[in-house]
Amino acid sequence: MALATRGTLWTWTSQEFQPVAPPYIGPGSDGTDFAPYFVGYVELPGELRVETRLTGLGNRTPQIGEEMELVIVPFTQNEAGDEIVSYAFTPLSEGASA
Amino acid sequence: MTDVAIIGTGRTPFGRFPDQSAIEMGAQAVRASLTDAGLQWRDIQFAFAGSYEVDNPDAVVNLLGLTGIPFTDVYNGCATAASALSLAAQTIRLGEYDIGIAMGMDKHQPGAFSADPVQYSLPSWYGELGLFLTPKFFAMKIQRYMHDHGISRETLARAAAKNYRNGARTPEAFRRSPISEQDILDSRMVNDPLTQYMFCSPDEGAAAVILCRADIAHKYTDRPIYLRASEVRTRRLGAFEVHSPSFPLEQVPAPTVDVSRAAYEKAGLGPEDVDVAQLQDTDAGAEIIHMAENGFCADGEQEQLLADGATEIDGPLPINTDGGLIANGEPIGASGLRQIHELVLQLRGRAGDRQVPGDPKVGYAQLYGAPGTAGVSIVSR
Repeated sequence: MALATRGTLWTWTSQEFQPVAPPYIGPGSDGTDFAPYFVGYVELPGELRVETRLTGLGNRTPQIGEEMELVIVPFTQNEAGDEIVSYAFTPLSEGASA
Repeated sequence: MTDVAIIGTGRTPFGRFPDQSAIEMGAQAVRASLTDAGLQWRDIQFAFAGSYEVDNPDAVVNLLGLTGIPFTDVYNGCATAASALSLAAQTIRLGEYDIGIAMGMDKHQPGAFSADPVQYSLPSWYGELGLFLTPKFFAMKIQRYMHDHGISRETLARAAAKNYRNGARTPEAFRRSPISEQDILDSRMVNDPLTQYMFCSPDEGAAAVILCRADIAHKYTDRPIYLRASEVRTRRLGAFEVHSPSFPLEQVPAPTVDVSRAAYEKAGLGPEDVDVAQLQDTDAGAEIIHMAENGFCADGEQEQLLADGATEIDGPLPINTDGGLIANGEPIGASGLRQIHELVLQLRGRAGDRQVPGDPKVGYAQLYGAPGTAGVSIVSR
């Protein structure tokens, strides 16, 4: 079943410390600099709330209720150097103008 | 069914003790509870012991005496101690034994808990992406709650500052220095809106509670405390819970709401009867949400209640009188029994510098944690 790719932000937080690796494999897990990231739940109308990283916010914090859409973003590289991508959600206005 | 009384409690200091094993702390807490009850280890007829880090907490018998009793180890996340207490009480209610003990002990590394998400029946990508973390769940729950119910960041700081102040009055607490509300707000951001000093830390410690048939309790103490309810519940579909990659739009109450109602019903008491409460304060936001989830106020009333000092030791609803998890830290196996120990001290009028005035008669303890398990115990004189 295909879920909606747009929804509204239900809640959010910032992840300011690096998660323990493993299981974490993202930026910082190999000893390089960790960058804090935003996490939230996006409510897909009539479907469910899905947990996701939030991207494309620039210097501002997310706002509960703002419209967001699905994007596929580069996440990290595996040992062979292959790019690993992830899903994320980004504010609709910024996403549309990008 | 047989009523159950608490006739002895004990705890160790909580904190970091590089020279002491968890098992040794467990034995120390048990000995303290035996002294409190005027009993010897050989008088104990059965035991339940909770731990996250220790595979076999029953090895404590090596330090206490090999008496051959039935001894069961339990683990149930942050509700481990509630499970040990509940099972011990049921064993007496069923008439199998007259006197038993529930104990808990743990020795955690500093920092947030971590594990393999696959062991939580979650996909491995959930951990790889950096989503398998408990602190951020608590942050997202209070973020939404603040949005819906008008709770301010200052109120989060008030709850934490109150717990540090109470910890300063508790000789066994881990954090014993008061921290101002401004310093709490200004400390390092961990998961917005929760700062470093708004969180509890996993640490080390042990606690124990001795239970017996209520009709023989007078033989051991002139002031038995009765265990009126000790219930455990898990999350239902639709509850917003820790470690949820997704959840349905139709929300149901948190497991704390379910277990709270069940415990009040079993005790024949309501929130208006409670004189002193210990609530799971994994973080300052959790304490505030749990005030409403356990029926002590409506959603949003916490803003005014905390401004008025209602949850202080001398307020109308004292909460976390020993400093809670924020000041004591969380040795998972022991945390809920620490709450019972504090309630028993309060109801006996033996809490010293932090004694709740007005001769409290009913105490309430609540636990909540991963993966969505809650426990509530109600005790009374």
